[in-house]
This record gives sequence, C-alpha cells and structure tokens, in this order.
Amino acid sequence: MVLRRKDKRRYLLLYVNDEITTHFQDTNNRDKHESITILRKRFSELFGTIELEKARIKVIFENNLSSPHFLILKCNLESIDNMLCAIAFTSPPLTTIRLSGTIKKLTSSIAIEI
Amino acid sequence: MIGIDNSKEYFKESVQTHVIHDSLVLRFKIKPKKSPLFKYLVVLHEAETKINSKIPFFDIFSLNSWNTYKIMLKKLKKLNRKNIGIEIKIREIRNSNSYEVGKWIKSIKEINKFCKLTDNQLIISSGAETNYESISGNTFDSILRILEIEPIKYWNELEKWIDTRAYYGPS
Repeated sequence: MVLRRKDKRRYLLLYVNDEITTHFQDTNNRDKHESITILRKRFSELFGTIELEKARIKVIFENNLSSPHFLILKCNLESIDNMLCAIAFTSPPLTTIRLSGTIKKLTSSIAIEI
Repeated sequence: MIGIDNSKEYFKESVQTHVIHDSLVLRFKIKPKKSPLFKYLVVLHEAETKINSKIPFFDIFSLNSWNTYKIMLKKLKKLNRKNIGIEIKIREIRNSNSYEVGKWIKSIKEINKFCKLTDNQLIISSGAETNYESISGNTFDSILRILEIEPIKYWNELEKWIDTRAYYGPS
C-alpha cells in the first residue's frame, strides 16, 4: 500500500509597496491584510473561486519579518502559474521577489530575519 | 532582459557599463544622432503616432489598448514592414476588470498568430514605470503558459530577434 504524499507547496516572498500603505492610510501593518484581500479577489475574478480554494493561499510570518514591507505567502505548486499571474495583474502592484520550495531558501539570499 | 526609456547617462562610459552590457537594451523614440554604449531599439507608441506610409523608421510598435488591436494589425499589415516587434505592456491591464483581462489574453493570442504569419516578433513587457511594477522571469513564464506560448521557445526567439535587430556601438 502506497501512502498518499502531501501536496507540494511553494513559498513566495512579496514586496508590499508604499502605494498600498498610502492607499489604505494604514499604520498598523493592516496594509498587508489588504494586499492579501486584493490578491485573493483578483485571483478569484480571473480563475474562479474553485481554483482559489485549490490554490490554498496562506500568509506566513506576516508580522515577524524584520521589514514591514515583506510578506511570505504559501500556495499549492499546481496553482503557482495562476498565483503569479494574479500577482502580476494586481493593482496597486505587488512585487514578487523570490519563489522557493522552503522558507529557509526563500529568505537565505535576502537579508530578512524571521 | 531590461529595456530602458530615454536614458541620457548611457552615452557615457561608467564602471558598470561592462557588467550590464548584454542585459540592457535602450529604447528611443527616434534614432539617436550619437550612438550610445548599449544596444538600442526605436520604439513607436500607438498613442503618439498615426500609421501611414510616411511613418518614420521604427523597430518596435507599442500597442496601448487591447480593444483597438485589430485595426492596428490591419494597418501594420498594410505598412508591410518585416521583422518588427509588436509590444504589449502588462501595466495596461493592471487596473482592468476580469472581463477585460480575458479579452486582453484573447487579443495577445491573435497578435501572436499575426506575428508568426508576418515574420514579426511579439514582445510582452512589464511596462514598468516604477521598481514595484517590475515582473520576474518566473511570472513572465507563467503568463506565457496561460497565453499558450511555450516560454523557452518565446525567450529564444526574442533573444534571436534582439540580436538581429538591436543596433550597437558607434556607427
């Protein structure tokens, strides 16, 4: 009997720019939540709610990063194309800095402390 | 690959010149009188020009709106210029709704078909005006896959096109 393996995931390091912060006039890191809301909305608009659920987008270390502008997201490998497209088509723009299979690798090249 | 609009400083040699030599292509509105130190291409914007027989020399035609692309393609076909690049900017659809994004994707598929038939090159660019709007290579590949264009084939064709088309060095 073969055990079913877990779904493969990918971690994305995003840069939330000042435009979103000023757009929502937020000072308490809630701009990150707003950026996720924008991203989820865009994803479901473009690919549908079923694909959004399949992608299993989750926010990781939102408040623990040394820079308030960085954000780490997790999503299913199968939905990575849709996810990257949704990020590229989002306004105000979110910037994808790096994509990796592990958080360690993701943050290794950039001076980010978790 | 980075294309930079109207950068005067690239006429002068600096410490970084040799490092970024092959990865940078300058974009000019008209052919420069003095040759820059990097490769360059002449870009014509849809909003700034009317396509007729008196149109000046250009390498890339930059499309602004997805809803007028059919008229533009007809005009470009009449103009009969071979081996030009047709540019589409992702920036243009960031603020569009999902219906418009769908139409945009359909239009790119048709523009790509047109480019293949007429020996021209499709160029999908970020159109970034700020650092935040820049798009990574992985994201470009994902967008290409959604557009049903094979990324490796696209990048190879684009590289070949830039090598044959871009001007370099003092003339």
